[in-house]
Amino acid sequence: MTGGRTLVIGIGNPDRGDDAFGRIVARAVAKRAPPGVACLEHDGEPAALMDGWQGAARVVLIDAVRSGRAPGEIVRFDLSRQPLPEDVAPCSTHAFGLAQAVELARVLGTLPPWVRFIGVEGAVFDIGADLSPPVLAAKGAVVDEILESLGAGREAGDATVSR
Amino acid sequence: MGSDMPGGDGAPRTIKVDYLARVEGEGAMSIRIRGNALEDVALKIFEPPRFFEGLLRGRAFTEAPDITARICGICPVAYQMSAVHAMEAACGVTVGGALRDLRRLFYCGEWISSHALHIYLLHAPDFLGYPSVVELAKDHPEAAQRGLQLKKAGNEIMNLLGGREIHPINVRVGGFHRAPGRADLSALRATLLRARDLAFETVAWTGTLDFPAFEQDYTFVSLRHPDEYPMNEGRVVSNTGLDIDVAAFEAHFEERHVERSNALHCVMIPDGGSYHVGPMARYANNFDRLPPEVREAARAAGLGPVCTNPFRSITVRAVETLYAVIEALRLIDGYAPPERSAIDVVPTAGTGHAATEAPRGLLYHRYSLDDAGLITGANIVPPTSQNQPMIEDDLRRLVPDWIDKPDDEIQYICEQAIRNYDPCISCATHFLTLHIDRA
Repeated sequence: MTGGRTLVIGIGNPDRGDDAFGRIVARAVAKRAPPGVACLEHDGEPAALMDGWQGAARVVLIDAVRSGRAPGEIVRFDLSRQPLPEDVAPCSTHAFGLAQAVELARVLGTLPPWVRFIGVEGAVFDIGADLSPPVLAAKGAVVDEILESLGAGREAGDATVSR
Repeated sequence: MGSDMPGGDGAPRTIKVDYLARVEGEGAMSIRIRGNALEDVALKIFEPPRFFEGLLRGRAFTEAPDITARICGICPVAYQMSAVHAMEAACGVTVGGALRDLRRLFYCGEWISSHALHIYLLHAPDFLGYPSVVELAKDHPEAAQRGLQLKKAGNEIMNLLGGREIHPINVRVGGFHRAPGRADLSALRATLLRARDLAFETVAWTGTLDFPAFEQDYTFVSLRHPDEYPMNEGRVVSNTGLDIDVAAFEAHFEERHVERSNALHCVMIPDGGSYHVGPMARYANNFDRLPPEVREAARAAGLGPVCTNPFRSITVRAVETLYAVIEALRLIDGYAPPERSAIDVVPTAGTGHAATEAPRGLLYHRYSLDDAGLITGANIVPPTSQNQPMIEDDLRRLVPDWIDKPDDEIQYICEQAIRNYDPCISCATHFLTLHIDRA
């Protein structure tokens, strides 16, 4: 089980262009993460996500989104306090998406107390495609931002990675 | 969703719905109505299997399980199982004993996980009047928890045997990279005993739901095995008399290109008729292969040996979930670890065919290999491609009864009718958009 740990969960499909962003970020964070931080790559299957984050103290979710913003633009939401806005659709082909997983966990009382979402606006989601240049360019900033929020040892509830 | 309401008889009317909720994946659905007559129904689907078939050519035969597992995050085990069985058929190898049992156990995990997700998180809200499971859970938290716990039990089986439940990595042609010990499997027992109780409750619970009155005279196509409810093996049969070896699949079923869509619609040869694959087809063709306690639970929930109301598929899925839990317990209790985690498979030039029963229905794979074991050709027919014409037929039958209703009611019943099939459009499309066009 996850205990009081911090989880960094990169969500996406590695075969669909910018949808791989979350996974790539999680992989990069894992190389420099402080003790007590677990980094996961996840395909975003929501029931498994809900099971995975149960009992965690802090969760950072990273995913590519399609919301009409400029490709590469970074968005941040404090999911402990608000649902994921409807216009920010994480790129999942699952019928039951991340936003619903968060809300179902909230209803059932199993949402961790500190949940942050960092999304990057994707441009290319074709099967077999690589990350598009603007999304690739956003990677370093997102990795640094997550590490800073985790490594500074700030208290749960800190809004470093929330908007 | 946008709507231009009619100004009077004959005035044009178009409804567009940009997202169809609670269906796996992405695609498009359009319904065209002229006056009070339904003119056309069309599912438009883009199919990643075509991409993967291209990707497979030139790759080693041993790579197919991992590559095809990436087609679908919902049913990766099905893709792996069809791939390994087709490769083994091409190479003249049969995997038996404990390795066969482990594969069946692995499939049980996927059925439990996939069915529990669909029953509780996607389908149940339709029958209880909620827009989604989030609203359902506010009033019925115990039901949502039951679904999540059942799904978790399936995921645990997949984790143990696959290495991870999404895109499992432990499967290989000839067996597994690593076979679990007896203690590994026994550790699942307590979870599965709880899951069995939850599955019995699920069958009974779905039997209390109200279903629209709608019956179809389906041609049900599934595997049938001499001794067991089918998962990995069996002949391809129908309730209309078909009974063929899987190697003859392409002589009896044909993927036809549909001009208005990117999709290939699979139909029966020679009449081009639609057919139904999935839980209702398996159940109808294999009711006598279910253990007595499962048959009794089905009867108590209102099911006969054949179910022809697609809205009741939620109960059939629940029955299959119960069966998969009981079968998993049986396999675990009888397990003796294999001496080796895989048998040797030497590639030979030739062609292999296999069909297994994915949660959503028959999944057919064919591979041709050269004498070095490189893939020279691949054909993958997913269940949702096979069910597409059937879904359209259901809608053609259903919509006329609703044609006087407001568009949002037509849309809702159509969405339900599509969800009856648990279409995994992940492996068959990108984005499902519903259009109702009245003119």
